[in-house]
Amino acid sequence: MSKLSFHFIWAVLIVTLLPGFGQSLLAQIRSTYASEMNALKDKYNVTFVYDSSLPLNVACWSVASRLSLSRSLRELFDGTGISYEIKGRTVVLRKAEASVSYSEPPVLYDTLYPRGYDGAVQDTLLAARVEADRVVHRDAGTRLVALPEIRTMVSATGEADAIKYIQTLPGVSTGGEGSSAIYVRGGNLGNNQTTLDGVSLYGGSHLLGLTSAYPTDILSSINFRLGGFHGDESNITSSHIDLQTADGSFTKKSFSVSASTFILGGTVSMPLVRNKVSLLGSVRVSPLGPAFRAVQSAVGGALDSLSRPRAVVYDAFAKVKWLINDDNKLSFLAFTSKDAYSYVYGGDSNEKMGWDNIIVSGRYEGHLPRGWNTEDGIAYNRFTGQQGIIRDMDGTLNNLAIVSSVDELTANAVLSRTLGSGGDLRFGVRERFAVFNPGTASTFKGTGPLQPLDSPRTDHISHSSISTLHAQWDLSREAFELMVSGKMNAYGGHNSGVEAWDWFFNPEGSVLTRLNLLKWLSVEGTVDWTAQYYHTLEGVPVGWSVDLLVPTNPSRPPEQALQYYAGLFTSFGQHHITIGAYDKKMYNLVYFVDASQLFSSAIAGWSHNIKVGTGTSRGVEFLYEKDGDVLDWRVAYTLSKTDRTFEKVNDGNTFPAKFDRRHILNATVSYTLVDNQRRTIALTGLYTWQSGHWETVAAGEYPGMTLHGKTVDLDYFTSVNNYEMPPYIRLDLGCNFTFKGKHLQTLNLGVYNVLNRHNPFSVIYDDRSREWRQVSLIPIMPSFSYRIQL
Amino acid sequence: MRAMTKTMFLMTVAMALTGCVETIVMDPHEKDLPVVVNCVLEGNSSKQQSLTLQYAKGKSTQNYIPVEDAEVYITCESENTHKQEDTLSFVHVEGCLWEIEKLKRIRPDTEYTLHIEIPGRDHIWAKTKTLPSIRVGMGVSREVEEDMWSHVSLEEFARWPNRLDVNGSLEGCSLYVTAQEYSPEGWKDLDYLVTDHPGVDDFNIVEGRFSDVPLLGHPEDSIYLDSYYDTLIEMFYGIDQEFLSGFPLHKGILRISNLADGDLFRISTGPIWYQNVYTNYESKGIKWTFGYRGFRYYFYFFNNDLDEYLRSIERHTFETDHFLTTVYSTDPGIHSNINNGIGVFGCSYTCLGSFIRL
Repeated sequence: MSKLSFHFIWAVLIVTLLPGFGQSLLAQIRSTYASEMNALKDKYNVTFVYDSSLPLNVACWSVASRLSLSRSLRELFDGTGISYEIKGRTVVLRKAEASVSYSEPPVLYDTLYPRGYDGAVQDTLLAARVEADRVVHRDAGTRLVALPEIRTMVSATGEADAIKYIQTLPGVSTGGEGSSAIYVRGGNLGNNQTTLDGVSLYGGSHLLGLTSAYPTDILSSINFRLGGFHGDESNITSSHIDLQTADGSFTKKSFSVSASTFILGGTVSMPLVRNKVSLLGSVRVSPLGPAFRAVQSAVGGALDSLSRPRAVVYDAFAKVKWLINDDNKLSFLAFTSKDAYSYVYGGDSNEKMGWDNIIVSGRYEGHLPRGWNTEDGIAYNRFTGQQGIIRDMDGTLNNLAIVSSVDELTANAVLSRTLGSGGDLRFGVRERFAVFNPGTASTFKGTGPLQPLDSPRTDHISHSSISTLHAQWDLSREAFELMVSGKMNAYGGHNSGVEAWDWFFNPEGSVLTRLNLLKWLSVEGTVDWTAQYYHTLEGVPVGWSVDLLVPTNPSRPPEQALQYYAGLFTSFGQHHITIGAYDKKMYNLVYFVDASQLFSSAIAGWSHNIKVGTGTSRGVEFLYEKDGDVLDWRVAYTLSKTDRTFEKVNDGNTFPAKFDRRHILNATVSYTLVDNQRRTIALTGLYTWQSGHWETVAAGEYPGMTLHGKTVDLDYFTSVNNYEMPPYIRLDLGCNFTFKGKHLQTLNLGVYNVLNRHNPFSVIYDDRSREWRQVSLIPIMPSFSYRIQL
Repeated sequence: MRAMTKTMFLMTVAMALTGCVETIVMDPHEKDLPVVVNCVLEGNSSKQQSLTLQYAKGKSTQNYIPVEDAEVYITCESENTHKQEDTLSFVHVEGCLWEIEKLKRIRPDTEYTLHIEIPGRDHIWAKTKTLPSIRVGMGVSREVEEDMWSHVSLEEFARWPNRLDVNGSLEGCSLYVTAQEYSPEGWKDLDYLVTDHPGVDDFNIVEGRFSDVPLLGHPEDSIYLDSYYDTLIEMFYGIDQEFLSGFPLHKGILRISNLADGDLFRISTGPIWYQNVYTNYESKGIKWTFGYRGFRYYFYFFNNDLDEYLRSIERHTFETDHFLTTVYSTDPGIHSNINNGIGVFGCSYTCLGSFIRL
């Protein structure tokens, strides 16, 4: 009965997609050289001097969140035919190879600031010409996530989702089908960190992991970094999904509205005080709950074992930015998201689950004398996960809830300066105070998913503090590039009821280097030694945000990782190829024995079921990208092997990680059929082939004894993760329409899993038929999204 | 057009709702299933030592096959000389049950090795360290005072000469507590237990606190206790509820780890029935006399091997059926310390303690 119900809830999710009345929609926001220069000017307090004939209003990739001026400039202009030179606080742009005589005038303004200045210097240089062939440089450890490409991807929910894009990159293995779980270079799911303007976002998914909790409309850039970590990136051992939010418009008001089967949304971008204060706001809600009930009323009896489903899903974002003056800027950000689900299962078990995020932050950016820049911020974020069951247990009605929470208060200050030919220097301090309370037992009130919880029955409160000093030096030359970062962490942890604090002192360091052998050929490498002061006790591996986050203590030391990467990068014309190999060793990884009980009250005893061990991962990553005006493609392939070793698991023998997929191939293609002033029409496709993940399959049964002397049948497992599931194969096809009328409209139509392949999610044993059965979740389904900008 | 849309919609729904589960063929690894050994050395001197020995079975097989032809024995070594000092053999009794040939007290705080030799199989063996001698004290005072009924104290028994060698000995064991009351139907397990020991395991907590646990069968029903015993029982609950009222209820069992020599902590239980302890001789309840012990705790001390094994089973069986995890099977991590086999070789010490001694 339970298995049927499981399939049914997914079927309900699927059916709600089918009518296709919805859509999600998202604008094609293409950055330009001019806007990127504007961002760099604001960020580094530099002035651009250039010839106005340079075509700076053409499209380019965003580099707004890059941390180093010289690296940002290199990223922006290398291969464009425009060369740059940093002279103090001035950046001079000119035609490549041109010999220009330039002397800095006593007072200098550039043409990029939104307000005009009398006496602004323009056209100081000779005319330049943009070369057709562009050489692309990318960090060995960073993948720039292309927002336009995300917004045209076909997804099961129709929603644009950065995680779905990241899942197609080399070095990334995915979790359960359709989920947002990622496992990067052999790490655990909890070794990845998502940040929103630098603030941790722990509950990163909506809709049982089907999509992300944040809309892409609020983002200006996404960096996915899996090596060569920067100085101000800490508490990570696998990857950093760095979400940078956009600013609202300082000059004009605009709205956009979007809708999809699962998400309805709207955004507003407007000046609150023209050229001074801007607002960017976004709200999304999900109609899943009403759709759920509508399907149930239509299907009726088939849902007998699963009744009264309810769902509340929403997120909201607001950012106010204040340009105080030329040298000082202040921004305030607030974000919240909620997922809450409840249903009655089997007639006697009322089950609930959900998770919430709250982020509030303030950030100051300023320019100091002598070319120094500062970024200071304070942020509070709270993540709460909860699950509850009302169940009749031997005549006693038990309505126990298990609640987990993390509260963090973070303050940071960073100073940076461009040293001219000496590179860029950046250093700072960061203090994070956190309160963890995982697996707290409580009771809940009422029958809906939003009812408050009363005071806890038990708690596992612990306080912790991480003080980090960090520094980073970037040096960029024509022949090479070097980034060196170092951190020193002091971690203190304290459990309630225990007076003493436990202390850990851990250094971290990263080196990124690239040697440009030829104009089109580079060798590159990274070395990272990282530490993480919390552990994620993972349950169902689909990326739902219900995993327990528990802090480090002496019995659960900080997770650490040592990672090496070396590779070749070549670029010729529109073709860019990267191939490299990595080796990673992970220490103090945790293995959570209670994974299958993450949704029961037994989880309250989580602290007794953690094993600490090690992991290794080795692999080869290949990425081939072709950028073109009409035809783009990307092929990513990963060959890797990942394993785990825990002293008291699997008899101490090494076993494969659950998502140790030997081969992962992702191929995407985009073909532009029409691109004119009225409309753009493009076809997109994604093909993925991945080795199956590993399941722990029982080979038999054996008798066990209980405390009371009873005999129970227990499953016998030969080893952990002893069965490799069949390969995961999926083809998605889509068509993207952009209508460039008075109101920009975007329509994405697609088919997810065109092959209707029953891809493996898990395997179960049917006691009645005495057969093993493979469970699949998502069949062929349409994908729609639509957006209009008003 | 509408008909076509409807047809396409129904076809897609049909595809969505079918084929989500399909049979797959896999090698069930049912060849050479291991031997299952469950052997618990009883620290109580009067108990017969026994073990069970049988083969694991395939999922499609109905019954377990017992092992009847084997050589089974345990040995222990002197800690000082590391020479084998004792060998105790087991003989087959019936089915899968084997018992020790010659009753002999198990030495405390000593490492024993279990050997099982079955023709055609690899040598099966396991090691375990027996418990130190432990004393449990309850209600040390006969006076009616706050600490009288609910305190439990643990002390290592001091008479063993090698006490120094087992410094911090209680680190190697955990305490399980169950509670029973006597009823007209016999001894009955009590539903909930509660403690203030910081090392209690929360894996089996349920809704409610101890203050929520009622006294059942109030004496204001037609039959009631004499006021003296009424007062005692009220006091028992009153005191415990004063000190333990805010602590969570544990279903059926308390598991306490991180025990330390000399620990002093409170435990309590419930709900208990007045009517099981009353003075009416005629119909309901139990006839009592002075010194009547109709309420008792079982204290089980298990060494690490047995604790890990039993805890993993109790946790696994406590609440496994959840809608969201039914299709997600994992190895529940049932502990085993048997080499070339599965099961457990451990040691226990069990004692009883009465509460509400009337």
